[in-house]
Order: sequence, then structure tokens, then C-alpha cells
Amino acid sequence: MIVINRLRKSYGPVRALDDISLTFADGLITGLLGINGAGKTTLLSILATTLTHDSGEVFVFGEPLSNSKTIRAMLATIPQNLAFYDRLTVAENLAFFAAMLKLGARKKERLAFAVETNRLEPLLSRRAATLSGGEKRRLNIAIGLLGDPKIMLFDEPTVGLDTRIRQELLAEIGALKQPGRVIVYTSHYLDEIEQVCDEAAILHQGHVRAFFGRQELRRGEQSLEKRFLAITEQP
Amino acid sequence: MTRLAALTKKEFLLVLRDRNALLALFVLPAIFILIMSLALRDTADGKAALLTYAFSGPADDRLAALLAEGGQARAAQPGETAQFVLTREDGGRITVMVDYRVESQALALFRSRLALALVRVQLAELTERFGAAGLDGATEAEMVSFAWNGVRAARPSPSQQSVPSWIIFGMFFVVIPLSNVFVAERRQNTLARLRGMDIGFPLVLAGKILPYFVINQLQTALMLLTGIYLTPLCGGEALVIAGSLWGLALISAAVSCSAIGVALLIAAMAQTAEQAGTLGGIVNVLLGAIGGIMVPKFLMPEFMQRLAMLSPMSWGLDGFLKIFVKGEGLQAVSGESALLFLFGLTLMTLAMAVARHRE
Repeated sequence: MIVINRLRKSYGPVRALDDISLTFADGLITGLLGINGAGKTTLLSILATTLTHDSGEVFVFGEPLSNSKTIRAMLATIPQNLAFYDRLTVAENLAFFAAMLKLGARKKERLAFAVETNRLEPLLSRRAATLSGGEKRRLNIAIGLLGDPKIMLFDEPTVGLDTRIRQELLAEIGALKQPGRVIVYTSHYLDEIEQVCDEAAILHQGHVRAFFGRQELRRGEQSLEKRFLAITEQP
Repeated sequence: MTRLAALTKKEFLLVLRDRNALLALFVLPAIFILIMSLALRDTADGKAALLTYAFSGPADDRLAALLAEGGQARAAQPGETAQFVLTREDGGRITVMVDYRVESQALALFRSRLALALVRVQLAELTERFGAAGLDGATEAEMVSFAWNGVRAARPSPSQQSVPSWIIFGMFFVVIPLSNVFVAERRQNTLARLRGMDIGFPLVLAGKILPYFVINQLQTALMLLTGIYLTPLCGGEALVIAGSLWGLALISAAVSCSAIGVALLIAAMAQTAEQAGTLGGIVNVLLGAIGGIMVPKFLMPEFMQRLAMLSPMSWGLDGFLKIFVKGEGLQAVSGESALLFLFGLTLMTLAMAVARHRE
């Protein structure tokens, strides 16, 4: 579980996160919805310990964020960009990131799991540059899965994908849900949040403007869309 | 595999699969060595054809005629400074005063022409006096001695000038592959991903320094082989390494440190790969132009020679030339090497600060 209490972050005069309080429960996928500049990426970067916050508290499975070494060992970030090497093969990319994670005896098992879960077996000898958009996204996720993370942070992972591949990817992300694992999923797309997430928060201008539990999200009747449009229309 | 070994292997694979980088790092410098060695050789030959001499006392017509045979030497015109001034001492011995600007090749050519002419003069005189039976075997050293009319610095042969020049220039071109990968890693959040895996910035940089250092040493080895074996096959003069190989290894390592420092700083500063490529190209060409890479320093006017001292490429070139031309060793290049290491380490530290600030 991740507990965020009165978190603030500013870039000079611009307040990116203003008094954010949120809880991300484990065993669920929690969506973060917001327009560009809403503060989604800033919040993910703080959770990933690659950005420091100005004030407030964050506890990750009981550990304060300042204990970054412990938190990084539990964490996988799946960035929007394809954060791997185009000129390496799929197998070389996976082996490289596995070496970075110092998996030791678990290396073989984790590599096999990441390959199988993302259906990369037939692609192992192909250079990453030659993969299709969907295959690249799967490799991006596979790298994130190598460390058997307790926290997975997805930053708009479906940007630029066509509908069919997006659906495949969402199904794969949904299958990653398990007890003891927190998954945070950011997106611009309301339908994705409704489809893959168990709960969702709408971020706007650095504030949490609404929070939807599982039942509200599943209620349909475009309640999320209506609320989102109403919130983002506000100046 | 340790993290550093994996980072190093990754960087190697990325460079080896980048055709443009291989072209810039290995093929272009080798081609430059061949072209410039041949070009400078032709210049040297042209100078040799214009050897000029004069007699300080009464002219020795027989010797003058023999020296001029073949059209490679001629008597200096009135008012013209002769490259070689011959003085006939008492007892027939000749002292030759050599102008300090005369190239080694020109001196060697004149020396051989003079020796041949003297032997022919002596032969003719002996034949006139005693007939063929009276030939005396006086050596060249007994007949003639050479002295310089000014302070003369040893000048490199075309290969000795070209090979280190293009080794150094090629080494600094690691900026292209290094910055391409670094900028892409930053833009695609690969660096952020690595940081999320608890990979510190010093380790990321070490993972770049090590492979590019090895690549630089491979460049040096390949360019030396080009100078020694390939240049003579193409009609140029083979490279001769007169000095210590340990000294050569030290100066090569020091130039590499500087080159990687420059490359890392440019990579850390650039927003895009295009920006890094353009900036890296401009910096390299400027450092090369003022550092005596494109035009040998001994051909530059004095103020340009002083300006050259600002370029790390010039420090490296001086070190290489001490080994190649003067036959010196480890100790002789320690000054240039220390300067290059200091420069490189300073730039690496700056690059780390810039990259951290940008993160």
C-alpha cells in the first residue's frame, strides 16, 4: 500500500502538486487521470524516487520515501517512452536490465517469466528497432517485470498504439494485478481507466479533484467522463 | 555479470552496430592518414628538387657541375639565400653550412649528391695524376663535414606528422556515438529507468568511459598499423616509431581521457543528438585547426603556434611527436600526459554536474 499525505511539489513559482493526499491499495490497479500538466508525471516521479518533494509524507509499504534504496528494490517504472536500446536484440535488452537489477539466482526464472508473460519468445533474437509498436510496448513492460516488483508505475503506456494492440496490452496489464502488488496507471484515455483500473483519481492543476472507487467506476452511465469534463473545464 | 561489465558490454554493442560511428572512428582517420602522408610527401619532394648551394670562397667549377647534374640542385642566384654554403678548408676538406629551415629529406639528398660528386672529383683528380692505379679510399667523413647556421628543430616526416594527427582527431570523434546514445537514453527515460534500478550516475558514466577508452586504444593501434604497413603500400613513407612504446601508450591514454571528457560534456549539454553532433563537430574541427592537426604547427606563423597551445589536441600531438621524431620515452611525455589527464578529468566532473543538474 502507498499512503500519500499532504504532498507538495513546485517548480519555481509553478505548483505542480498542491496538498495531495491519496492511498493506492495493493492488489488493485489505481488510475491517475488528468490533462497534460495536471501533475501525473510529477507524482509518478516522486513515487519512483527520481524526484524529491517539497513537503508532505509518502509511505510505501510502511517505508518513507527517503529510504529510496529499499523502495527502488520494490519498484518498476514503465515509462511512456520506450526506455530500452534499439540496436540491442530483445534478449540482449532483457539480459542487460536483468544485470542492472542484480537478480542473482532468480535471474533465469525472472527472465523466463518476463518473456512468457509478454509473449516475447519468438522475438528474442530480433533487434528492438525492428519490432512493431505493440511488440516494443511489450518489451518495455517485460523489462519492468524483471525485478518482480511490488509497485508498478505505468506512465501512459498505450500512447501511439492502434486500438487492437491497445486492447491486447490493457489485457496484459490487467493480468499483472496480484495481492501485495500496487499498480498505478496514468492515462489521458477515460475508456482505458474504466477498463483496466479498479479505482481512479482525477488530478487537475496539482490537486486531486475526484476519487472513484470500484463501484463508481463500474457504474458506467458516463459518470467518469462527465466528472472529468466538468473538472477540466474549470479554469 | 557485474553492473559495470553489463554497462560496458551494452555500450560496445551499440557502437559496433552503428555503421556511421565505425566510419567516423576507424575508416575516416585511416583514409586521412593515407591522403595526408601522400600529400605531404609530394610537398617534400618538390622542395628537394629546388636544392640550392653556393661557395663561400672561390667556386669549385668541377664540383658545382657535378652537384648540378640531374637537375636536383642548382647554384643559388645572386641575392638568394643558399640552402647549403660550401667552404673549402685548407687541405681540401669541405665544410657545409646548412640553412636551419632545410628539411631532413633535403639534407639527406644533398648529402648523397655531394658525396657522389666528391668521389667523382677525387676520382678524376687521381686519374689525372696517377692513372687508374693511384686511387685512394678517402671516406666522405674525411672529406666533408656539415654544420647548421641556426637553431633547428627536428621536423616530422609526412607519416610522423599525419599518423598522430589523425589518431588524435579520430579519438575526439567518440563524441558522435557517445552523445547519440547518451541523449537517446535521457530522452527515452532509459536513464531514469536505470536510476529507478538504483544505478548511480558515476556508474553510468564509468560504463561509458571504459568502452570508449578501449575503442580509442584500438583506434591508435589501427592507425599505427596503417602508417607502418598501408602507407608504404600506397607509395608513402612508412611510419617509424623512434621512441618508447610505453611513452606512446601513456600519451595515447591521456589523449583518450581528454577526448572522452569533451564528448561527455557535449553529450550532457546537448538537448538532441543532432545538436550534439553539430556541437561536437564544430569543437573538434576548431581544436584540430588551431592544434596543428590540419596544418602542421611548424608551418604556422609564430602567433598561431602560441594559439595552438590552447588546444588539447596540440598537447597530444606534441607528445606523439616526441616519441615518433625525437625518439623520447615515458618521462618526456609525462608533462603533456598530465595536462591531458587533468583536462579530461575536469571535463568529466563538469559533465557529471551538468547531467545531474538536468535530471
